[in-house]
Amino acid sequence: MNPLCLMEDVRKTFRMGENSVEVLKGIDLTVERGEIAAIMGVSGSGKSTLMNLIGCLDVPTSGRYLFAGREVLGLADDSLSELRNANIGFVFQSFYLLPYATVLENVLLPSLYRERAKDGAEERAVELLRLIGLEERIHFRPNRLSGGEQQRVAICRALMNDPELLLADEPTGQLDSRTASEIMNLLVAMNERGKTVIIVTHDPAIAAYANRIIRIKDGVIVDEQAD
Amino acid sequence: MKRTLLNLKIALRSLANFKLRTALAVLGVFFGTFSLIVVSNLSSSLAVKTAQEIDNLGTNLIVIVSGQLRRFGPSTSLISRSTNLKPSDAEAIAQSLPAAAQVSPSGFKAFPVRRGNTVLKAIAVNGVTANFSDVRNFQVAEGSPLTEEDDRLQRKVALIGRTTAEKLFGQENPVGKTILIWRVPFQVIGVTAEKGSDLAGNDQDNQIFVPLKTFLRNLVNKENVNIIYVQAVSEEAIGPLRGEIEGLLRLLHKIGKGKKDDFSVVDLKEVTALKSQAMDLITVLGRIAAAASFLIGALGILSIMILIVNERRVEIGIRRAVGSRKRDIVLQFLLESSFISVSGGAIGMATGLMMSLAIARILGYPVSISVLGLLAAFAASAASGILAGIYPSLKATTIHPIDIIRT
Repeated sequence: MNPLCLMEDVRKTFRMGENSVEVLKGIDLTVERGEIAAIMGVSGSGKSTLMNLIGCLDVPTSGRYLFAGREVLGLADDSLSELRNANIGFVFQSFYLLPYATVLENVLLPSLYRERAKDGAEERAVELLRLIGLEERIHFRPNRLSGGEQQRVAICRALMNDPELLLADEPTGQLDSRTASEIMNLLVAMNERGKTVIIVTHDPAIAAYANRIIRIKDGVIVDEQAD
Repeated sequence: MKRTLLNLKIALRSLANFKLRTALAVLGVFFGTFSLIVVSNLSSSLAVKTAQEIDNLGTNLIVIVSGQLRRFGPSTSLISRSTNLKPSDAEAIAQSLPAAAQVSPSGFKAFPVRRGNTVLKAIAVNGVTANFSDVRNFQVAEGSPLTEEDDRLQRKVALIGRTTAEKLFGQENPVGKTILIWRVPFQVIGVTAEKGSDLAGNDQDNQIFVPLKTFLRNLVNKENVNIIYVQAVSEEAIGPLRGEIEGLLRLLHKIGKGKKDDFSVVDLKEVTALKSQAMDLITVLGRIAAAASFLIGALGILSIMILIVNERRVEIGIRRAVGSRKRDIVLQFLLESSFISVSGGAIGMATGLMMSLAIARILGYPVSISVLGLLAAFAASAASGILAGIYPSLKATTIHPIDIIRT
C-alpha cells in the first residue's frame, strides 16, 4: 500500500512585493498510514507552511506531493476542497467553532459539504459526541463549554466525515496541562482506531505522544527520529 | 435542502447581532414592495370600477349627442347646440343599420317637481322610449316599467329614481301616487333600481323617466331630442357602426362635404379611457418611488452583507478548511442576502395589501388584488437581495483558511 503522504523535494516560495522568500527548501517526507507523527520547529521554521501543504490548504511551488496516491500540485481549488472534505480532519489551536452554531451543528459542518449527502449524518455526529462524553450538551453554544470541551467538539468535527488523516495544529496551545493530556490521549486513541495523526507543535511534551518526531529548521527537515 | 436550511438557521442567529442595522437595511425593500403593491392594487381596483361603470351605463353603447362636443382632457363640453336630432333619425338608424341592435332616443330637461307641499326645484326629467331600460341598464325595482303603449298613447306616467322617491315620498310607497312635473300631473308607476353615480359623478337615482312622446308634447313642446343611445350588436361592431351612423346622419341632415357635423358620436370606452389616464400617472409615479426604494434597500443590504462577511471571516475560513468550495460560500451568502430582502419584502407586501384594502374601502372602490403586482414585488425584492449579495459573497471567497488560522 502506498504511503498517505509522500513529499519529494517540495519547495514553497512566497512573493513579498519585489522579493520572493523561499520558506520550504526541498522537503522529502513520507507519512505512512496509521502513523502518529509530530512536526516540531520554532516559529519561522516553516512548520506552518509545511502543515498547510500536508493539509492541502495550499499547494507547493515545486516538487511532488502525493496525498493518498494523488498528485496535489496543480489541483484546482474545488478539487482541493473535496480532497480536504473527504480525507482530512483539522484540529486548531483556537478550536475555531462557529459561535452561532450549536455543538451538534458544529460537528455536522463537514457533512454539509460532502459530495453526496449521506443519511444518518446527525446520528453519526451524536454518536461521536457521546463517545467523548458531551451528549448532554449537543444543543449548547460553544461559548458555554470549557476550552477542553470545545477542543473535544472540534475533534468530533474533524472526525465527522471519517477522514484518513487528523491534522492537529498546536491542539493544546490554549489548554492547561491536565486538559492537554486528555486531548492528547484522545488523539492517541483515535490513532489506535486507525487514523493517521500528524501533530504540529513546538512543545516537546506534546511531541512525546507521537511515535515519530519530524524536526524542521529554516525550511528543511533536520532530523527525523522514531521512538 | 436540509443543509441549506441549517446554514440559513446559523446565519440568522448571527444576524441577530445586528438587529437595528438589518431592520434599517430591510426598510428600503419594505417601502419598495409596499408602494408597488398599493399602486398595482389600486389601479386594478380602478380598472374593475371603470368596467363596472361602463356595464352600468349599458354594454356596447354608442351615444349620439346633438350639437358639437369639444373634449378637453377627460371633460367634454357642448360648444354648439343643434335642434336637428329627431326621433326619426333614431328610427332610420334602427331600420337601415343592422349593426345597431337597439336604438333609444332621449330628451332631458330639468323641471321643478312637486308633490303636496314638497317641491324639488330642479330634477332631471328624461323622455325615453320603452327599450331604454335595456339599452341603459335601468331596472325597475318596484311597480312596472314604461311600455311602448305608454309612449304611443302619450300617457302621463313616470318612473322615478330611488333618491327622488325618498325626497318626495319618504318611506311611503310612491307607486300609484301623482306628482306634478312643472305643471303637468303624472302618475308614478314605478321606482328604478339603485345605480349609484355615473362617470361624471351625477347621482343616477335622482331623476325621473317619462315616455318620450309625453315629454316632447306635454313638457318641452319640441320635436327634437338631445341624445340617441345606440346599442351595437357586439363590441367589434362599435367602430364600424360609428362610421355608418355618422354617414347616415350627415345624409339625413343634408350636411354637405366639408361642412361640420351638427351632432357628435361618442364611444363611451374613449371617455373611460381618459379617466384611467389619471390613474396611469399615479401608477407610474408609484413605480418610480418603488424603484428608488428598492435601490436604497439594495444598498442597505449591500452594506450589511459587507459587515456580515467581515464579521464572519473565521467562519468562512473554517468552512473552506472543512471542504466547502468557493461556490458553496457564494451560494450561502447570496441566499442570506436574498433571505433578508425577501423577508422585508414579505412584510411590505402584507402591509401594502392591508393598506390597499383600506384605501379601496374608503374610496368605495371594488377590492381587486393584482396578482401581477404581487409577483413583481416578490421578484423585485428577491432581485435586489441577490444583486446586493453578489459583491459581498464574491469578497467572501477571497478569504482563505491559511489567512485565518494561526492568528
